Amino acid sequence: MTAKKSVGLVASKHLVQRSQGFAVAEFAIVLPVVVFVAAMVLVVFSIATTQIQLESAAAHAARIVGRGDKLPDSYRNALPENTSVIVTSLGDTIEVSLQTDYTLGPTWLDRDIELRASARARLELAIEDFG
Amino acid sequence: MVLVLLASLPVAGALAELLIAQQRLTALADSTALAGAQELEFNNARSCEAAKSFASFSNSVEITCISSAAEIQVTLVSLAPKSVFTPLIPKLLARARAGIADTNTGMP
Repeated sequence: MTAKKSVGLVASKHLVQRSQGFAVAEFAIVLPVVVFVAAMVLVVFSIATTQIQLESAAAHAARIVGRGDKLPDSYRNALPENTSVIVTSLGDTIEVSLQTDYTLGPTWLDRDIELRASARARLELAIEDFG
Repeated sequence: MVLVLLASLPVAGALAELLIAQQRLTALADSTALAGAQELEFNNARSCEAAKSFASFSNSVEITCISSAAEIQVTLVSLAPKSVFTPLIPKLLARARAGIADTNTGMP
Protein backbone atom coordinates (compact mmCIF):
# COMPACT_ATOMS: atom_id res chain seq x y z
CA MET A 1 0.00 0.00 0.00
CA THR A 2 2.70 2.43 0.99
CA ALA A 3 4.77 1.41 -2.05
CA LYS A 4 1.82 2.19 -4.36
CA LYS A 5 1.37 5.60 -2.76
CA SER A 6 5.03 6.50 -3.23
CA VAL A 7 4.93 5.50 -6.94
CA GLY A 8 1.91 7.74 -7.44
CA LEU A 9 3.65 10.74 -5.84
CA VAL A 10 6.75 10.33 -7.97
CA ALA A 11 4.66 10.10 -11.15
CA SER A 12 2.71 13.25 -10.31
CA LYS A 13 5.96 15.08 -9.55
CA HIS A 14 7.16 14.26 -13.05
CA LEU A 15 3.88 15.50 -14.48
CA VAL A 16 4.21 18.83 -12.67
CA GLN A 17 7.82 19.23 -13.83
CA ARG A 18 6.81 18.38 -17.43
CA SER A 19 3.94 20.90 -17.50
CA GLN A 20 6.26 23.56 -16.04
CA GLY A 21 8.69 22.81 -18.84
CA PHE A 22 5.98 23.25 -21.46
CA ALA A 23 4.92 26.54 -19.93
CA VAL A 24 8.49 27.87 -19.99
CA ALA A 25 8.95 26.78 -23.61
CA GLU A 26 5.64 28.35 -24.67
CA PHE A 27 6.53 31.56 -22.84
CA ALA A 28 9.94 31.64 -24.55
CA ILE A 29 8.23 31.40 -27.95
CA VAL A 30 5.40 33.81 -27.24
CA LEU A 31 7.36 36.52 -25.41
CA PRO A 32 9.32 37.79 -28.45
CA VAL A 33 6.10 37.87 -30.48
CA VAL A 34 4.34 39.82 -27.72
CA VAL A 35 7.21 42.30 -27.51
CA PHE A 36 7.35 42.64 -31.31
CA VAL A 37 3.60 43.22 -31.66
CA ALA A 38 3.54 45.69 -28.75
CA ALA A 39 6.44 47.59 -30.33
CA MET A 40 4.71 47.65 -33.72
CA VAL A 41 1.44 48.90 -32.22
CA LEU A 42 3.39 51.66 -30.43
CA VAL A 43 5.11 52.62 -33.69
CA VAL A 44 1.78 52.72 -35.56
CA PHE A 45 0.22 55.01 -32.95
CA SER A 46 3.35 57.15 -32.80
CA ILE A 47 3.23 57.67 -36.59
CA ALA A 48 -0.50 58.40 -36.38
CA THR A 49 0.09 60.96 -33.62
CA THR A 50 2.76 62.72 -35.68
CA GLN A 51 0.47 62.69 -38.74
CA ILE A 52 -2.41 64.18 -36.72
CA GLN A 53 -0.06 66.86 -35.36
CA LEU A 54 0.98 67.66 -38.94
CA GLU A 55 -2.64 67.87 -40.12
CA SER A 56 -3.50 70.18 -37.26
CA ALA A 57 -0.38 72.31 -37.82
CA ALA A 58 -1.12 72.59 -41.55
CA ALA A 59 -4.67 73.80 -40.84
CA HIS A 60 -3.35 76.28 -38.28
CA ALA A 61 -0.72 77.58 -40.72
CA ALA A 62 -3.28 77.91 -43.51
CA ARG A 63 -5.44 80.02 -41.23
CA ILE A 64 -2.52 82.27 -40.24
CA VAL A 65 -1.41 82.79 -43.86
CA GLY A 66 -5.05 83.19 -44.98
CA ARG A 67 -5.38 86.13 -42.59
CA GLY A 68 -2.42 87.73 -44.32
CA ASP A 69 0.08 87.19 -41.51
CA LYS A 70 3.49 85.58 -41.70
CA LEU A 71 4.16 82.30 -39.93
CA PRO A 72 5.83 83.21 -36.63
CA ASP A 73 9.09 81.60 -35.52
CA SER A 74 7.27 80.03 -32.58
CA TYR A 75 5.13 78.11 -35.06
CA ARG A 76 8.11 76.80 -36.99
CA ASN A 77 9.91 75.88 -33.78
CA ALA A 78 6.93 73.80 -32.63
CA LEU A 79 7.01 71.63 -35.74
CA PRO A 80 8.92 68.32 -35.74
CA GLU A 81 12.56 68.62 -36.80
CA ASN A 82 13.31 68.91 -40.53
CA THR A 83 9.74 69.80 -41.42
CA SER A 84 9.40 71.78 -44.62
CA VAL A 85 6.58 74.27 -45.05
CA ILE A 86 5.35 75.08 -48.55
CA VAL A 87 2.76 77.80 -49.09
CA THR A 88 0.99 77.85 -52.46
CA SER A 89 -1.43 80.48 -53.65
CA LEU A 90 -4.47 79.21 -55.57
CA GLY A 91 -6.33 82.39 -56.46
CA ASP A 92 -8.48 83.33 -53.48
CA THR A 93 -7.33 80.24 -51.58
CA ILE A 94 -3.96 79.31 -50.14
CA GLU A 95 -2.64 75.86 -49.50
CA VAL A 96 -0.06 75.00 -46.86
CA SER A 97 1.78 71.71 -47.18
CA LEU A 98 3.96 70.26 -44.47
CA GLN A 99 6.40 67.45 -45.04
CA THR A 100 8.56 65.68 -42.52
CA ASP A 101 10.53 62.47 -42.13
CA TYR A 102 9.54 60.13 -39.33
CA THR A 103 12.50 58.04 -38.20
CA LEU A 104 11.63 54.42 -37.55
CA GLY A 105 13.55 52.85 -34.70
CA PRO A 106 17.11 53.86 -33.87
CA THR A 107 18.76 56.52 -36.03
CA TRP A 108 21.53 54.16 -37.19
CA LEU A 109 18.89 51.99 -38.82
CA ASP A 110 18.25 54.91 -41.18
CA ARG A 111 14.64 54.00 -41.94
CA ASP A 112 12.50 57.06 -42.60
CA ILE A 113 8.85 57.41 -43.47
CA GLU A 114 7.77 60.55 -45.26
CA LEU A 115 4.71 62.15 -43.70
CA ARG A 116 2.76 64.86 -45.50
CA ALA A 117 -0.19 67.01 -44.61
CA SER A 118 -1.86 69.87 -46.40
CA ALA A 119 -4.66 72.27 -45.62
CA ARG A 120 -6.38 75.11 -47.40
CA ALA A 121 -7.85 78.39 -46.27
CA ARG A 122 -9.66 81.17 -48.05
CA LEU A 123 -7.74 84.44 -48.17
CA GLU A 124 -9.33 87.05 -45.96
CA LEU A 125 -9.67 90.48 -47.43
CA ALA A 126 -7.96 93.21 -45.49
CA ILE A 127 -9.78 96.48 -44.76
CA GLU A 128 -7.74 98.23 -47.50
CA ASP A 129 -8.99 95.71 -50.08
CA PHE A 130 -12.52 97.03 -49.73
CA GLY A 131 -11.31 100.41 -51.03
CA MET B 1 -2.99 33.99 -28.52
CA VAL B 2 -0.20 34.75 -30.98
CA LEU B 3 -2.74 35.00 -33.80
CA VAL B 4 -4.87 37.42 -31.78
CA LEU B 5 -1.79 39.54 -31.10
CA LEU B 6 -0.82 39.58 -34.76
CA ALA B 7 -4.40 40.45 -35.74
CA SER B 8 -4.22 43.48 -33.47
CA LEU B 9 -1.69 45.11 -35.80
CA PRO B 10 -4.04 45.80 -38.72
CA VAL B 11 -6.73 46.83 -36.23
CA ALA B 12 -4.32 49.40 -34.75
CA GLY B 13 -3.47 50.59 -38.25
CA ALA B 14 -7.13 50.92 -39.19
CA LEU B 15 -7.89 52.83 -36.01
CA ALA B 16 -4.99 55.19 -36.67
CA GLU B 17 -6.21 55.76 -40.23
CA LEU B 18 -9.70 56.51 -38.93
CA LEU B 19 -8.38 59.06 -36.43
CA ILE B 20 -6.31 60.80 -39.11
CA ALA B 21 -9.30 60.94 -41.49
CA GLN B 22 -11.46 62.44 -38.74
CA GLN B 23 -8.79 65.05 -37.98
CA ARG B 24 -8.61 65.99 -41.68
CA LEU B 25 -12.39 66.33 -41.94
CA THR B 26 -12.56 68.45 -38.77
CA ALA B 27 -9.86 70.79 -40.11
CA LEU B 28 -11.72 71.03 -43.44
CA ALA B 29 -14.98 71.81 -41.63
CA ASP B 30 -13.28 74.60 -39.67
CA SER B 31 -11.79 76.22 -42.76
CA THR B 32 -15.06 75.80 -44.71
CA ALA B 33 -17.02 77.56 -41.98
CA LEU B 34 -14.44 80.36 -41.90
CA ALA B 35 -14.55 80.68 -45.69
CA GLY B 36 -18.32 81.03 -45.57
CA ALA B 37 -18.22 83.43 -42.63
CA GLN B 38 -16.23 85.94 -44.67
CA GLU B 39 -19.37 86.66 -46.68
CA LEU B 40 -21.68 87.03 -43.67
CA GLU B 41 -21.24 90.73 -43.11
CA PHE B 42 -21.53 92.18 -46.61
CA ASN B 43 -22.97 89.39 -48.75
CA ASN B 44 -24.97 87.25 -46.37
CA ALA B 45 -26.95 85.36 -48.99
CA ARG B 46 -23.76 84.07 -50.58
CA SER B 47 -22.16 82.67 -47.43
CA CYS B 48 -23.28 79.08 -47.94
CA GLU B 49 -22.39 79.23 -51.61
CA ALA B 50 -18.91 80.48 -50.71
CA ALA B 51 -18.48 77.71 -48.16
CA LYS B 52 -19.53 75.03 -50.65
CA SER B 53 -17.34 76.51 -53.34
CA PHE B 54 -14.37 76.49 -50.96
CA ALA B 55 -14.82 72.83 -50.00
CA SER B 56 -15.49 71.71 -53.58
CA PHE B 57 -11.83 70.71 -54.09
CA SER B 58 -12.55 67.73 -51.86
CA ASN B 59 -14.87 65.62 -54.02
CA SER B 60 -15.62 62.97 -51.44
CA VAL B 61 -17.31 65.31 -48.97
CA GLU B 62 -21.01 66.13 -48.68
CA ILE B 63 -21.68 69.59 -47.29
CA THR B 64 -24.74 70.84 -45.46
CA CYS B 65 -24.81 74.51 -44.66
CA ILE B 66 -27.08 76.70 -42.56
CA SER B 67 -26.48 80.41 -42.30
CA SER B 68 -28.15 83.17 -40.33
CA ALA B 69 -27.48 86.87 -40.07
CA ALA B 70 -24.38 86.49 -37.94
CA GLU B 71 -23.45 82.84 -38.06
CA ILE B 72 -22.80 79.98 -40.45
CA GLN B 73 -22.83 76.32 -39.54
CA VAL B 74 -21.46 73.62 -41.82
CA THR B 75 -21.71 69.86 -41.53
CA LEU B 76 -19.32 67.73 -43.53
CA VAL B 77 -19.89 64.03 -44.11
CA SER B 78 -17.47 61.73 -45.86
CA LEU B 79 -17.04 58.00 -46.22
CA ALA B 80 -14.74 56.48 -43.64
CA PRO B 81 -11.60 54.78 -44.95
CA LYS B 82 -12.29 51.14 -45.74
CA SER B 83 -11.15 48.99 -42.86
CA VAL B 84 -12.39 46.53 -40.26
CA PHE B 85 -14.28 49.43 -38.67
CA THR B 86 -16.32 50.20 -41.80
CA PRO B 87 -19.41 48.20 -40.67
CA LEU B 88 -19.33 50.06 -37.34
CA ILE B 89 -18.33 53.50 -38.61
CA PRO B 90 -19.31 53.82 -42.28
CA LYS B 91 -19.22 57.62 -42.35
CA LEU B 92 -17.30 60.39 -40.66
CA LEU B 93 -18.96 63.62 -39.63
CA ALA B 94 -17.56 67.00 -38.66
CA ARG B 95 -19.40 70.17 -37.70
CA ALA B 96 -18.08 73.69 -37.43
CA ARG B 97 -19.57 77.11 -37.04
CA ALA B 98 -18.19 80.56 -37.49
CA GLY B 99 -19.61 84.01 -37.23
CA ILE B 100 -19.04 87.70 -36.93
CA ALA B 101 -17.14 88.53 -33.78
CA ASP B 102 -18.72 91.09 -31.52
CA THR B 103 -15.86 93.46 -30.86
CA ASN B 104 -17.80 95.35 -28.19
CA THR B 105 -17.97 92.46 -25.75
CA GLY B 106 -15.25 90.72 -23.88
CA MET B 107 -12.59 93.26 -24.77
CA PRO B 108 -11.15 95.65 -22.21
